[in-house]
Amino acid sequence: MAAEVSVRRSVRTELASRVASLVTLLALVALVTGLASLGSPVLQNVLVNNLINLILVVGLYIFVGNTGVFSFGHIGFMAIGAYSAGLVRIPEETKVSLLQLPPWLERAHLTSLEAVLLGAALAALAAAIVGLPLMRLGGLTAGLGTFAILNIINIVAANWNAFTGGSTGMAGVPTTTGITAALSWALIAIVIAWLFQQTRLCLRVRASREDEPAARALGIKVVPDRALAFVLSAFVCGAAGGLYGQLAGSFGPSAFFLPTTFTVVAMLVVGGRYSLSGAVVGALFLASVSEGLRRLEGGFHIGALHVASRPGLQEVGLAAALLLTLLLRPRGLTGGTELSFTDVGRLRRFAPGRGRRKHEESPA
Amino acid sequence: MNLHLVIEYVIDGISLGSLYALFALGIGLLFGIMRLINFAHGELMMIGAYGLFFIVSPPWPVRIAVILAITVAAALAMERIAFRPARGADPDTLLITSFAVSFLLQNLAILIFGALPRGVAISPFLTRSVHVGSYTIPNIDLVTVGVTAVLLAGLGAFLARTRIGVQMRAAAENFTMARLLGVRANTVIASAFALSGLLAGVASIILVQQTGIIGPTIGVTPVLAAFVATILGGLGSLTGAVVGGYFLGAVTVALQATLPLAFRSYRDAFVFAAVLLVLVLRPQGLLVHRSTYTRV
Repeated sequence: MAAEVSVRRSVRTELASRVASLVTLLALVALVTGLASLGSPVLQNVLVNNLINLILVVGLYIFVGNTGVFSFGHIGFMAIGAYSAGLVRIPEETKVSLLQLPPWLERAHLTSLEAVLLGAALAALAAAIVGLPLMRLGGLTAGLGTFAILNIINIVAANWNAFTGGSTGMAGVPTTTGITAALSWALIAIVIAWLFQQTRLCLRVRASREDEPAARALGIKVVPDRALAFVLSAFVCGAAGGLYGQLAGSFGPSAFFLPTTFTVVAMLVVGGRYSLSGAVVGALFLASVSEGLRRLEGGFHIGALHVASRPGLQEVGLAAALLLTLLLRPRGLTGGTELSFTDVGRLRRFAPGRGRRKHEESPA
Repeated sequence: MNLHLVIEYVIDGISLGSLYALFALGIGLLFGIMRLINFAHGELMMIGAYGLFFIVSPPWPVRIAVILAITVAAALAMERIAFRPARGADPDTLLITSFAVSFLLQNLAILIFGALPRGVAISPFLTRSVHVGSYTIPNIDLVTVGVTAVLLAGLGAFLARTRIGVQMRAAAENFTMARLLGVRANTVIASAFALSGLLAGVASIILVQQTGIIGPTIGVTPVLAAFVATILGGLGSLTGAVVGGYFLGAVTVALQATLPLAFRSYRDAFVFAAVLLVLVLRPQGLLVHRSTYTRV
């Protein structure tokens, strides 16, 4: 009996610490957003962009962090989200003049929120179609395969003139994504990722990440489990795309290709790709670094137009940050642990060295 | 479709496949030995291409030698600065490292040379064609196929006959065991990088002579083709990389020939989709290498 009570208690404290870490992350994001929203309109714009990046990073983390399979394809799912949200948000007259759509799609009109959900759902559908064959390839090869997915989506977006506007892209999407919408979705994304981590499915994909043969020997069906995680993470990235489409107003296929992929991958890896906290911290940290670099580039003007005097500097800085992280702290800033306000007194968690321990794992 | 046309397509396919095989070999060599999937291989080609843009005056043999020296040196520098410190990390970390190196080099090129693509003069000899019977074969295709054949034969002989080549194969088979038997890790890995630099240099020259355009992102598409070819052939197998390259070339040309005009701009999307379909049937790739196979 005594043992049972103590197990129950430890389960309770375990859950409490997981909830504490969720609350910490939500509070952190809300706090940073609150502070940045006091800034100039330009900073606010940067803020919304980076909240969308945060959603992408969390979405990518759901798959990459938990399954250990890398993906370069998630920005493709973002593209699907953005284009489908655009198709149901552009006013009918604009659609008629810019695109050649079937009549039912020309008439289709959804609210801003519904458009984001539609984008997320279609992205998830695409991931469901390619997920199983991709995951059959096995970890590393599947990661390379996702690169082909990104390319397929990019080629289709750049050539399907009737639906996507081709290489010039889509225009006339009402720009309704503000700080509130972006923040809400960022918090929702974090909650989705956290809830996912409480499921048996997540435990199974993590087991197959640590040791695939052992996981298989335990009867875990690695391929379908990974594919499910892939679908959920594509859903979140699709939502980010829907938000992005309604932030940018006009966008083309180049918005959803390697540079964005790189930014999001760098954020995830620098923060620490094996914990949700890593995803969040990485997104916030690199967003600040890259904003600092943007100002250094020298072409920073208040106003809508932004002409950098040294294009490329920001990206070089990001790449250098990523390389340094990989060389000095390959498991990222958080080293695979979850942040929690209850740990403030124990900052030694983040001393170097801890992060290097292989397969260190915190449950939340 | 008449036979004449089919034969011209076959020639196209072999030429394109040769180029893809060159790309894929550079990736496959490094993967076999150190489990590194080198995104930055494309940037070695980018460096070679800029070399071709800036070094114009010397005669061709000197030009080629200088460019190959540059790409080999760049590959060695890349190994020393970025990949040696990361050696022994898991393949994921190595993959992301190379992604970072690739992005860094691309953007350094944008910082230095600007993002706009530039034109490069194509050698007049290569724009001409040879007429064999009723067939017209562009010289560039002959050169591509010939150079690749020579390189493949040379690489095969190098791996089979020379001391360092044998050591490289041993390292690809079982790196730890090879080291225990006295193979020097640094030498073997540096040689592999030097070879991949050489392949990238040759590929960049051929590529630029085909397109006449260079730019900071010139290496992206070839690397993607190389990835697809190596996956198709089976990661870790050099023969697989070559087979995958030629297969990819064949699929590309076949689709180019048979796709309806309206879909032709989607050709590469269909190529990748076709490759993914092949992989549904054969997830390990066409040839499986012993060292990458995990028994479950």
